[in-house]
Amino acid sequence: MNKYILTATHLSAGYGQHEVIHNQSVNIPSGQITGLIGPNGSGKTTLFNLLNGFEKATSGTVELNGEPIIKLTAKQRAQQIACLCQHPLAPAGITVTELVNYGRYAHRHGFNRGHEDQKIVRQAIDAVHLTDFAATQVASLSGGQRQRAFIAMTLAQDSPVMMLDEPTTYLDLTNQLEILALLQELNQKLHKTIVIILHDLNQAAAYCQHLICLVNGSIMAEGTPKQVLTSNLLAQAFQVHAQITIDPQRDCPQLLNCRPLEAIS
Amino acid sequence: MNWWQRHLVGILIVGLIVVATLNVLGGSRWYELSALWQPMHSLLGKVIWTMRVPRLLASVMVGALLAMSGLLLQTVSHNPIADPSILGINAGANLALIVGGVLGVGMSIFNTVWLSLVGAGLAFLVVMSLAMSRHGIAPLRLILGGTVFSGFISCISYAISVMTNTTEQYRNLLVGGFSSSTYGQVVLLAIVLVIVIVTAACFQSGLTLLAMDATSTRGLGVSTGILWSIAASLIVLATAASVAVGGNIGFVGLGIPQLIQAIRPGSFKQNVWVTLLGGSVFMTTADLIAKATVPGVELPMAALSALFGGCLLFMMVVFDRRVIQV
Repeated sequence: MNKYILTATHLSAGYGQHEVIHNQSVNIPSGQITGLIGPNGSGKTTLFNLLNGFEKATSGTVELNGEPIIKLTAKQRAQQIACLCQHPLAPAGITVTELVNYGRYAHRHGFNRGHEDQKIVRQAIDAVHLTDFAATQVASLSGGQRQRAFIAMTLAQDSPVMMLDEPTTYLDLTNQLEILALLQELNQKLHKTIVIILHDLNQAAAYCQHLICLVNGSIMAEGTPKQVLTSNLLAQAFQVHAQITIDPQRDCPQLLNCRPLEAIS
Repeated sequence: MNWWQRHLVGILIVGLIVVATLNVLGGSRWYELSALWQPMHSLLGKVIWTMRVPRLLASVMVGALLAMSGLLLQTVSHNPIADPSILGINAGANLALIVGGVLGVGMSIFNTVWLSLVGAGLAFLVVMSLAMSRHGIAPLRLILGGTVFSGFISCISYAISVMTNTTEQYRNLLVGGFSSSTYGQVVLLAIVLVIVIVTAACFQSGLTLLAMDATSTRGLGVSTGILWSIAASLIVLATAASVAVGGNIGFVGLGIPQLIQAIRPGSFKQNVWVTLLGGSVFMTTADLIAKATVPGVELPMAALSALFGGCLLFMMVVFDRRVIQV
């Protein structure tokens, strides 16, 4: 297996005249959870959409297992990368099973409906612990359950890479931790490569093995949480001062006493 | 699922048979059921088979087509109050027919079809480009732009027919109705209906997925561009054929899918066939009301369905949160 499943070289992208990402290179390690962090408007979502092939770079290439991602058809790409956006919207009136079923879309062609599908769909629903809600309407689920249903949908895509844009936003703490623990479980048991945008740096440090910090469209730091989360970076990227300790159980850095720099000076 | 939801298809089929029979028997004069067995060459048989039956078939199919185009439009635009008449697609087809007629194009079935296709297609393009924003179609812009556009186009239609003194000639187009339906039109509708049904059946999963947000749909590997074009073609085709035969009938595409959705919430795939049936039942009933309420007078179909659709729209805005949610 390649060390890096996704590699982007000399990537630039933007909207019209405004360049969001300028000449950046980035690698996503296989079989790990990679966290994209950075302040608002730093280009995280743009980079995310470049890596999953949704947006075209103005220059530079994104390669998936050594192959340019723009050469893949929509279905081929979806077989490799499953994607969950920030505010997924389910069609009115559909049940969890149906929603998860749509994850199989990329694996279907013509009248071949795939006998494996039902099994995979059921496994995906089991994996996100929604077995009892399989026949429930998505609209009547709670926020956390709904997010898990969408994760099951991406899981049913049966792709080596899963990409999630802020999957924990708008969820309460219990649900946030459940989603993150679930992703960790998927990473460990099914060896999924996971790319995830997170705002909570402590969560990012605890659940990701690899972090990429973006500021103003360029990568300011990249590496393990210990390498990336330094007081220097916190000051430069987030204008924040914090005490950094090591969580002895998880062996990851955690921030204490976060304060904005302006307040201190 | 409760009893109503489980038996909705059955109820609608029975309803359609009952209403269809009444529609054939009813009108400016009511006939007895035995009229259906009269020989074709008798006067009664002629009335039944050359006037009432094609009229029935036309209203059944126009109802189905309008309901279908409404459901498709609501699915792809993520907007529960989208409807070809609200967006001015009907009005576009209507205007094209009136302009064509005034310019002296003979109103053969073939001519009416291409004229209304051009009109509906152009109107669709204009409304969609009005609604386009950087993030795709903006639901609010779609509805507001469409409403204004629709009113604008309808006014032009009226103005042209008033100025050229042809309001009587184009009465059917302007106020809608099936009083002059022929077997030729029935064949046209049948062809369009088959095309629409077969295409929708082949792509039902993909079309259902267009109801999701654009990013999720793309993430699942759906070629949104292709499916969008298919949906758009079906909407334009269904609307154009309906206008070419039944004139400007609005609100069916809005009301019927919403009513079905209220009775039995479901995705495009689950509800599409029930919605078609519902459209047929509604249109056949409305046609019966239009021709039988006041003997000898054809009530304007456009007004009838606007009455129904208007009440429904009010109820939705008052009771349904999804209208405001985008």
